[in-house]
Amino acid sequence: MKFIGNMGEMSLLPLRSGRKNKVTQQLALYGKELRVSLSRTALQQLQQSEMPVEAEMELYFSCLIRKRVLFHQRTGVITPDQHIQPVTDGLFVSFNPVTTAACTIAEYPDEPLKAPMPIKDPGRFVPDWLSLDYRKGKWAGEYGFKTNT
Amino acid sequence: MATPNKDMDQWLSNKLDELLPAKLEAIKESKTPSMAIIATKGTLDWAYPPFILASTSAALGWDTSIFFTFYGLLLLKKELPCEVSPLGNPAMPMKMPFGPQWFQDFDWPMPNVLMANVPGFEKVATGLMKKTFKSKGVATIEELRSLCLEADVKMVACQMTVDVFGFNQDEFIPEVTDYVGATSFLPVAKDSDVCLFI
Repeated sequence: MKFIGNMGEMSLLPLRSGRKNKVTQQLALYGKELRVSLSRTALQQLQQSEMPVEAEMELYFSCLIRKRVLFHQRTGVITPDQHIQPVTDGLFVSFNPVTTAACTIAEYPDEPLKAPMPIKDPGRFVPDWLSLDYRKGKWAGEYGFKTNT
Repeated sequence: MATPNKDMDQWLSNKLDELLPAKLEAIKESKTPSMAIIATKGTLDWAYPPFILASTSAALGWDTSIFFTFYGLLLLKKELPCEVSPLGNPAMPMKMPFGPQWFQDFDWPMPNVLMANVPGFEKVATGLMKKTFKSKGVATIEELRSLCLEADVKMVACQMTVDVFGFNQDEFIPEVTDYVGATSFLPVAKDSDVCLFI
């Protein structure tokens, strides 16, 4: 596997084989544990990718609270910090809470301007799990929070 | 000629005018804002507002409390039973969460007689609403409640409603901060910066 991006002194744990043809990785953002699972097709796509991919978990605070995973091809050096962490070679995951003055939940191209949501303690709002897949030539992702039920 | 007392009063008044605005601003800046919500409804559509507002307020670092009373108590159940009924709710559009865009945008006219007589209609409407929200990436009620708990939102249950409706405290999530009466919650509401009845 090739890797592009600066991981400093960090070393990644080997991905663990999970159920349903998926592999998993555990990491922490803002001090909170996040379980990332990748499908085999996602892993294959990463191996073929020339540039690192960032899976951004966007939490959108508006009249409703929307979860969305955005994918970016990154160039240059990526320095891991509380906000962004490597999952495996060529894949980073980040958490980005945002807000907007105007509300729209649909993914229109002219989506209102977003601004960072000034969360006092972001670790409490970091999701518990993230699932990534690559299908029909596109990245797809979903994340969520542990629930009592 | 002004008396010494009048001079002193004038001096004090001028000094207060000079210092008070900055002092009041400093007090306002250092105060943690607070929000108190009274949640009274337990249907799926009405479950969203208290949890969305509470999680947003807690995210901003506000002290947030929700008092669950009447049907709002259902939002504290371990298994959330929230459903939505389009019957008698003319404001609720009947939209489909699947198919081409024109199909999704169409408002399906549903006569009351159909909604009232078709068995399981509420289950269908609930399923459609959940599917619509999921397809738009909207967090579920379970997730929002979990976020609220994670962010230290205080969830208080109305003890009298628990008794009247014949509930048992074991049916509710263990994170319920307290079981109290309105008399105990009203002072919290009085001192809050934002108080909402939902």
